[in-house]
Amino acid sequence: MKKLMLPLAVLFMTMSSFTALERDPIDCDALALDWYEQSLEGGYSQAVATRTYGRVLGQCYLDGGSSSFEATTNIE
Amino acid sequence: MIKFTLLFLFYLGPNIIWDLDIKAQSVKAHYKATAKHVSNSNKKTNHIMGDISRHANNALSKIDFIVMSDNLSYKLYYELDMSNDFNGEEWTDVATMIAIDGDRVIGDFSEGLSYYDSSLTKKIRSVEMSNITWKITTESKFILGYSCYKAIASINDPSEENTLTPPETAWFSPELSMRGGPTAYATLPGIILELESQKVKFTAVSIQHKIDCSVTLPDYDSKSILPHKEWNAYFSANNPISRLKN
Repeated sequence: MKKLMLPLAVLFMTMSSFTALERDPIDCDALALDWYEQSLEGGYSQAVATRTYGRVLGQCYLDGGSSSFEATTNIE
Repeated sequence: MIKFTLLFLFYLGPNIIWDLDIKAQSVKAHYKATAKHVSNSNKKTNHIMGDISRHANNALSKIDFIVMSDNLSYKLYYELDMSNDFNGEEWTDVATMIAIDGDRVIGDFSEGLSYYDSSLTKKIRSVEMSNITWKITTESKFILGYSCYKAIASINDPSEENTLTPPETAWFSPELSMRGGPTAYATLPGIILELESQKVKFTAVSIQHKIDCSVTLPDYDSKSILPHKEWNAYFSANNPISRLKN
């Protein structure tokens, strides 16, 4: 029984790591937009919500998430 | 002649010097701010609002807010405390926007207007100081050794300011007889040493009396100044995130 446990554990860990690798990266655009909308809903100003959007998007992207948003959040 | 010299030295001289000192004086006050949790009945919104205030407070612990007033005008701005580690620095821009709605607030008593500017846009948002009416109470306490009175604010037209920005209560000291504080509405007869709105609380941590130090008003281009509602409309129309939503 003990002999069987070790290969099974190795197999389980390998499969877990493959699953993790294959998982889609977090959609940073959707996440940041969600925080933007929730902060407006909570009463913060557009300016606070906009900076929150930029902060969440940037952090998410650095953490390995994906984003297609290229526009700047600075408004001339 | 000797009598006149003695009279000047002992009576007039010190009075003139004292008088000049008082008239040339300005005040510089340092504050610490904490972001309050703005609760919401929606569970998800409430959770995210909690996360934002937690991140903001982490950053705010390393930010000094400064008010300089010469009683004609005042400016409210911030400086980063670089003496500590940089943990939380990445939320500084959000934290300062929560605290003072921008990077700097300028109050011009002669015009009765305050101006918010930030790196987010070149347009300056202006608000009328008279939009907040203060009711001074007899409640008092000492802050930094100064006798302070509590004042309660009421907003005359809520549509002329962001929802969570208007001050609710302030503690000001008539002993610091200049006007100024960590708000666009510092019209009380004394420096505000503690101020609370729905989203933030400021507490003074030090006061400096500065001689011969006037607050210079920035030379804004009049075309770049927009009243609150116009600024909001402009920002909304030009914000790429607003366009993403629609």
